[in-house]
Amino acid sequence: MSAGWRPWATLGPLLLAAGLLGLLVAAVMGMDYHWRWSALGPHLISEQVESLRPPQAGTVRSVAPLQIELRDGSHWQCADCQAVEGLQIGAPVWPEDRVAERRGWHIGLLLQGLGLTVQVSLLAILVSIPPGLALALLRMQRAAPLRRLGIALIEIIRGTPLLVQIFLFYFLVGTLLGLERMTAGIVALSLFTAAYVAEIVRAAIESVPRGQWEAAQVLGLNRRQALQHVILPQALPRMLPALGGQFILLIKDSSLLSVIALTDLTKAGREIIAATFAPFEVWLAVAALYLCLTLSLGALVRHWERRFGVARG
Amino acid sequence: MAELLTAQGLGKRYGGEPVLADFSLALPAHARVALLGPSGSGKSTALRLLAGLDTADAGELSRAAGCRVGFVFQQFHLFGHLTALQNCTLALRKVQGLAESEARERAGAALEEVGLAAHADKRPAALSGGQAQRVAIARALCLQPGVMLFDEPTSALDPETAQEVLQVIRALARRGMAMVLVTHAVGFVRDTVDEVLFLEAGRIHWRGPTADFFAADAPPRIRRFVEAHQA
Ligand SMILES: Nc1ncnc2c1ncn2[C@@H]1O[C@H](COP(=O)(O)OP(=O)(O)OP(=O)(O)O)[C@@H](O)[C@H]1O
Ligand SMILES: [Mg+2]
Repeated sequence: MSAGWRPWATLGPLLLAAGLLGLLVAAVMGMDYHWRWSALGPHLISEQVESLRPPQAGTVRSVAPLQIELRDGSHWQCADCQAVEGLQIGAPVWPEDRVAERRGWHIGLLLQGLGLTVQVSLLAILVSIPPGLALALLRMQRAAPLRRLGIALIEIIRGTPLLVQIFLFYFLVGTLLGLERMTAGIVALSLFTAAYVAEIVRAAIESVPRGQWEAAQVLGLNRRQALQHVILPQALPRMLPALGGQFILLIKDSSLLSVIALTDLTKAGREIIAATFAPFEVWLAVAALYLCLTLSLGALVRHWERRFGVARG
Repeated sequence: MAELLTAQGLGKRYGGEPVLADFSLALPAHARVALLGPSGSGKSTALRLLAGLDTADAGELSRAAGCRVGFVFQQFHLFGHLTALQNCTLALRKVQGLAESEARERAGAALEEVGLAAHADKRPAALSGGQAQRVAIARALCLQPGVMLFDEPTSALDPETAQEVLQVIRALARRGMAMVLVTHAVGFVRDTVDEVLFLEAGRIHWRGPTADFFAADAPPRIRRFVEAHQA
């Protein structure tokens, strides 16, 4: 199992990536590009200062916490805010006076886009599993018409571009059923993925030796019970690597949802470029964020592989 | 005496090619029958038909009411993701609908019978071949079958380990379990089995009491088979 630490397995790809990045940077320097990484800042996260003013004229009664007695006799105070410097107890204040400020964080467009991409991808992954399993089972039916239906559905989905499917699903099915943009996008993405999940599941099920089916059969389990309790638990570890790869594709393919005006990471990137004119910085940041997502998912899948791999035997 | 299992003229073809023809067998309680014959003669085919693993395309098969059939494969076919105990409880829970505790109790008793109570929590990968086959026997036993079918239960094992499995089967025979077994262990056949069916090219070539099978005046084909296996 443990082959020890093989330095080239880790360092090789890293050096390659560093080299490529170096070439890219060298090429860009030759272009006389003016790097403005700071332009990215506000689109990631920024601090916002909100100015607070009293609703009516009044008198300051306390500074920390800020409390003002208004002209009508009522009291005005604010939570989690800070009185401006120099404000004195007993001082008169007017409605146009800036008496306090509240500091908060503003999530920038890029991170909002990242959030949407994460949300859409996770939901689409979850939603793709039941139809994927159903398609796999349909494809494995003994009755020829059902089996052919399964094959046809899978081939249609795999044989047409995802972009076209997203358009069709959003404008046709989405309009007919009155689906929201987000729902339509998630469903389109998960149906597309389901076709691939189906083939992965089928291959894994078929890789479980026939003797396992027969042992279940002589014990009296019916086909559904054998599948549920004997075959699928052993097929699952075999399908994990391929499923992981498929779900990484899904994360990247979710960028196509920007065509139906969902502001995902990619669309956020385009909008920020329009505002900042810093295309290289933005696209590199977008690529890095996608990479974070896909690498995390990859690590999670490898963790599961190790956990469930023990069950093999 | 009522038969547990009755086969009348069973036949099976694969791709038009007959691999078993006119196979008949009546198995009363406590009967111990061996199916012998050269490789490809149809022994496994006959056993699989008796177990309902395949369906015959000729003949009739009947089982006494409530008589379950246990089957033991040459390659064990234990469920790799389950422990020895769970291998045994699965059908008790999912088919017979027993509660977990009751299933564990019965499975534990079956593992005890094959001498593996200490290995109940091991997965198949952690068991030796002989232990795995004994778990497979326990898995069949805990469903309380009326008949046990064994298809070359020791052919995947070395001779010494084979003995430990044959010992378990012998003990089962002693306590009156009816069984049909396919095996190349002729010594075991001689001391444990009552009746021998000798198959050749899909047909029952010879059948009779075990003593006649090993007798010096048995037909030449049988003598040849016995001598080859005793060598
Ligand atoms: N599923 C199958 N499809 C096609 N032919 C088969 C199938 N199962 C068995 N056969 C053929 O039927 C014949 C009898 O096979 P069977 O397995 O019953 O023999 P056997 O007596 O058990 O042999 P062995 O001692 O090698 O196990 C063989 O010629 C085999 O090739
Ligand atoms: Mg055989």
